[in-house]
Order: sequence, then C-alpha cells, then structure tokens
Amino acid sequence: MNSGWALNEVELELVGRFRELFKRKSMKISVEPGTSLLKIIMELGDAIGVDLRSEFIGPDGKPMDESSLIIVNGRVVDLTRISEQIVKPGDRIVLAPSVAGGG
Amino acid sequence: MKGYAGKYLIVDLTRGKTSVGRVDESFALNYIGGYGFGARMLYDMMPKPAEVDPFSPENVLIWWTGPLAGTISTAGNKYAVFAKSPLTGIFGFGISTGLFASEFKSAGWDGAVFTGRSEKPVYLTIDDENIELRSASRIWGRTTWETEEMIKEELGDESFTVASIGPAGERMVRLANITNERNRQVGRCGLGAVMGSKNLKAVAARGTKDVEVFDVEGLVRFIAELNERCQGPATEKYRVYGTPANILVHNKLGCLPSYNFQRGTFEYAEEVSGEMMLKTHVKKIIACAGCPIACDHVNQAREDHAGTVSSVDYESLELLGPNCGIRSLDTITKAVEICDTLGVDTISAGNVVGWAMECFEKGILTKEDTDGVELRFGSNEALLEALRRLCLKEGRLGMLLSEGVRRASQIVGKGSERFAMHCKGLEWAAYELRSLQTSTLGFAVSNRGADYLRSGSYQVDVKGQVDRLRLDKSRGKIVYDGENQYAVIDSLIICKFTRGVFKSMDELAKLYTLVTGLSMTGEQILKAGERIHNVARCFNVKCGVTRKDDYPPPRAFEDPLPDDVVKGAVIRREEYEEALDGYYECRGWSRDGIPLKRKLLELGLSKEAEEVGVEA
Repeated sequence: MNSGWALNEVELELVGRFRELFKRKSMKISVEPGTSLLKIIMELGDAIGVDLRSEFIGPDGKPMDESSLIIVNGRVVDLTRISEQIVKPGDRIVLAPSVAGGG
Repeated sequence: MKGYAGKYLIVDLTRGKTSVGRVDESFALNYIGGYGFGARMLYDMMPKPAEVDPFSPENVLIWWTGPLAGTISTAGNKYAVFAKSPLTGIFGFGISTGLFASEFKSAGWDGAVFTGRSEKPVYLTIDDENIELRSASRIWGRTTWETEEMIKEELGDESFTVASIGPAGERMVRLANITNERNRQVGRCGLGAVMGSKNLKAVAARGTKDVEVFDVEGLVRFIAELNERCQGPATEKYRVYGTPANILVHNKLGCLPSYNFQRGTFEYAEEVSGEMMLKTHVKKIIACAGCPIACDHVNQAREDHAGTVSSVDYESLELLGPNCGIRSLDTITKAVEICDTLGVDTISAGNVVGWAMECFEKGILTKEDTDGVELRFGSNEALLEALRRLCLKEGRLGMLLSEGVRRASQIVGKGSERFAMHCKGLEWAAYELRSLQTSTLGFAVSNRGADYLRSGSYQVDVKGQVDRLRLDKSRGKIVYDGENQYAVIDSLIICKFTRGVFKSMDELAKLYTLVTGLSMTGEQILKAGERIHNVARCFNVKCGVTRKDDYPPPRAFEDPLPDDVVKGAVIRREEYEEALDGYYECRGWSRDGIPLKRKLLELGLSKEAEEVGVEA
C-alpha cells in the first residue's frame, strides 16, 4: 500500500477515535485492483500497529453489537461481507464509531 | 419484596393534603416500575382522557422511580414523570437522571402523584417521612438554577436534591421541562408546563435510608461485572466524546438534519462536531449517580458569551446547531444555557425555531410577525433572541413558538404545516427521516410522538443491517422488538447507554430478581414490556389516536433529499404503508392501529380489552 498512486487511489476519512489512531482526519491510499475491504483494514492496522479488524469483527468472526462503522460512498457496509467487498479506485471510505443516543 | 420502597405519596394540591398509596407485588411484577407504573396509573386515574384539558386540575402528574434507584445498580438512578401532555394531547412522559431519584427513593418513596391545583405557588419537600408543602412565592419567577440554590438555602441543607421548573413552566409554555441538578431534565412532552398549571414550582428530596436489596452478594458480583463491561468498547464513544460523536458520523451518512430538515448534511459539521467540542469547549465530563460511564460533557463558551456553561449532548447540539444553520459552538452553548435555565426542551425548541426560520426565509413569516427579529438560518443573534422570547412567551414571536411546532404551524398556516417536523405534536429529534427509514417508522408509531428513545430502531439503519433508504414489511418487527425491550429498560429505569453492556433480556431479568427477590425470566420481563406499551397505546386510543397519527410529516414523502451521499432519498408512501401494516400485525392491533381484544387479554389487560380493544 503506497501513498500517492493516483490511478488506484481511494480516499479514507476518519472520525472519532480513528482520528486519534491515525493522527489525521483523512488520507489518500492506493490499493491494488481486486483488494477487499478487509484486506485494506488489516493493512491499515499493521501500518499503525493496531488490531484494526477487532474494531469491526469480534473474536468469533462476527460483527459485534457495538462494532464501529465502515461507510463506502455513503453506504454502510454490512460487516458480515467485509471480506467479499472489493474496493474500487475513487471510493470514499469512512471509518467511524457506531452511533447511538438516548440516556 | 425488596428494591421497592413499597409506597408512594399522594399529594392533593387543591386541599394541601397528603396521603400514602401502596405498591404491591402484583403491580410490581406486571409493570416493573418507571414507565410501567406511570402508564398503568395514568390509564386508571384518567378514565376519559380526551375530556381532560392538560392544564386543568383534572390532569394528574405522576412521578415514579424504578426498582433499581438508590441501589448500586449500574446507571439505574433515574425517575420518570407522567401526565397528559399539553404539547401532544396524549400520553406524556419523560425520564431524568442524576442524584434526584436516589435521594427520593432513599427517603422511602417509590413515587408521588399530584392531583388538583394549588391556589398559590408551592414546592414539596420530602425529607424521609417528613412531607411538607411550602410556599414558593419567593422563588416563583426564578430560573431553575436559582431555584435549586434558593431552596437548598431555605432548607439549610445542601444534601437536598431539587427538581424544578423555570419561568417557561410557570407560563405554561408547552415545551417546558423539569430540571434537576442544573443540567438534567425531564424533557419532551411539556410536563414542566403541567407543573406550572398546578402552581407546583419544585420537589426537593433528601433520604437517609438504605434501599434494601434481596441478594446483596449476588448483586455486588453482577454489578462489578457490568461495571467492568462498561469500561469496554461498547461505551467508549460516550466516555470520550459523549453523544456529540454522532455529528460527523451522521453527516457522513446524510442523516444529520440541517436547515429545518431540508437537508441531511451540514457543510459546517466539522465546526460543531464532538471532536471539535472536546478540543475547544469541554471543561468537565461528569457522571450520574452510580454510573461508571460518565457521558455528560459540560461546555464553557470561549469568546462570545464567555463564561457561559452548559451541558451539551447530541440532540441539543444538533437541533440548536445545524438544524438552525448555526455553526458556532459558543452560540450553541449559550442556547442550551437559555433553555436549561428558563426551562424548555432543547430538542423541541431547536425544532420549532428551525421551522420559524424556514417560514421567515420563505416569506411566510415577516418582521412584523417576529417583532423585528431577522429570523434567518445561521443567525446567532436571531436564534438566541427567539429562544429567550419562546421561554418567556414574549411578544408575538414568543407566543407563537411557545405553542410548539404543530400548533404554531396551524396558527400560521400558508402551507407551513407541510414542513412542521413533528409526529403527534412532538417535535422530531435529530435523526433525518428519509435517510434512516426504519428509524422513521419507529419515531412515528411511538406512544409519545416523534420519539427517538422508544425503540432504538435507527440502529439497524446505521449498522447497514437493512437498506436504510427503503422500507418493507419486515421493519415492523424490528420496531416492535425494540419497543418491548425499551419499555423494560424504561421501567427498570436504566440508562440506554448500557444496552450494549447487557447480553440479553435474561440479564435484565436477573438484575431485577437480584434486587427485588421476585422471580422473573427474560421472557416474562419482555412480556411485561409489551404489556406496558399496550397500556400506553390504549390511553392514546382513548385520546383519539389511530393509524392516521402514525405517520411522519409530509416532507418525508414529498421532498427528496438533495445531499450527495443520499441524493434523492424519500419515503415511498406504499412502502411506508406496508411497513406500518407489518408493525400492527406484530403488535396484534387492527389495521387502524387499535389493539385487538384478544391481544389485550393475552397480556392480562382485561380492563383495556373491555374499554378499548376491538375484535379482529
């Protein structure tokens, strides 16, 4: 994964604790054709030394009640399909904490 | 039976007399506490609610704690207040938190029921068994914050907790709330105005007794486990950013209402985000009694309105911010302070001011109507002035806004009803209608009106578990399940921020049994939740509620969203009808939204079956 390869670039936007983890609001990353969302998440985690997968998938391999969100082009990703979803150049990916309200 | 005090106070304000009512085991098992007790009692005490003017002495004002209040239970120190709502004209209730419930329960009372109307302003003191109605003439007209301080000073005891109304409640502003400990409110349905109509300024409570629990060791072990879970990832977002963390996420999802719900994103979202607020405005993070999460983020304004301090949560921030086109955290902090001290609900206030701004920009309201206020989106001065006038019912603008968005739009007319964002008269909260469609169904069918707190149905939308831009019949089941679970949570009464901490309904039942000693399974407690929801619906049916009232406002069906991420999103009427049918089927209600006799009998509600239920 190399920064600055415009042809295969996707935009990554970061919200909440993901801003703290990456120390930035957004970044551009380049990906190989056919790369799955899960692979990107794993590689991003490796790059910053964090088990990023565990933000989205529990120890049993399933999404958790309070899993963080991945939003691709405004659509929330069904985390049960994270390993199948292929990222395309130009995609806008947002990593965000899950939302909730009401005390 | 442990956990419960076993008795409640009955206060006849007309005669200035008090008496005692009893809480028995059957009542406890069937209705749990909080929401359940309030629904049951309001239904029983008001046999013909359609004939009761909410501001008349015939309205009943009911306060309940839950079985967990005053114990070590995680985030369980809450109380609920009920009455026929002057805002919606139907079942009204609100829940608050803080120390008040714990003191109230420790004084030896599960609840209090107020009837009639005092001739002169009074406040009630509950000091263990010593109950007294005292003159409130000295504090009438004071803000909620001043009232708390003055009552403590008058009683000569800082350990009293005080729940009071501000000038808005005294003037019977239909959005008025009840405030305890400065920044905790019984919000939404205008119950502060009911207090005002009864000349009841405040309730002050102090308790010195222990609330007995059934299994102390078992409870300590279980609570230690729950508290540990509360330090995990399920609650991290509340601990760090508080609920304002929702701003940027909702913006990315196109479900952040802005400019009176004309859009689902806000171009200045970063400036009013939880992330920004934490960096620039949050001065203190505090917790309610017995809560290991600590979500309450207290802001201090910096440049404009320097020194202003208020507690800013997502709903307040959103409705008083983006929904009014406001991008200044200083202004939002000040706006919340105005609402909290003068005593109105921030959600409803932000909603109705947003509506008025749209009216002004469309030429429906003129400067003559607003007494000279240039009521445009994004105007900090206009927002603060409109709020102040609303709270004090000052001038034409204040009088209009104080009625709430439904009545205000009916008064103004000229098509403004079409973009009055409410359901059953309750102002829509900070979740966009067209981009979270399961959530919209949940809001619209709620017993209280457009209610974000009764089913949690937005969760499937934001987690991507359903297509949030469409509806189908299956959504009815999601809302039905959520409502029954939340009815349990609101009856126990525990904080909804712990819902990710409990693994199942069995754990909620276990907590109930450890505290009370009354045997309860997950299935039974869920059935109690369904029973409670149906009692409240039956009250509403008596007020005239039917299917016609279970719809979102016209904008949801008629104005496609313009925002990039959800461009064109709109609710298709035929899909909504299908989802509503699905909901009624799950509920065991008729196609017109009336509970069937057989369902009510199955829930043990024979009185309701007789009075309200219809045949299949």
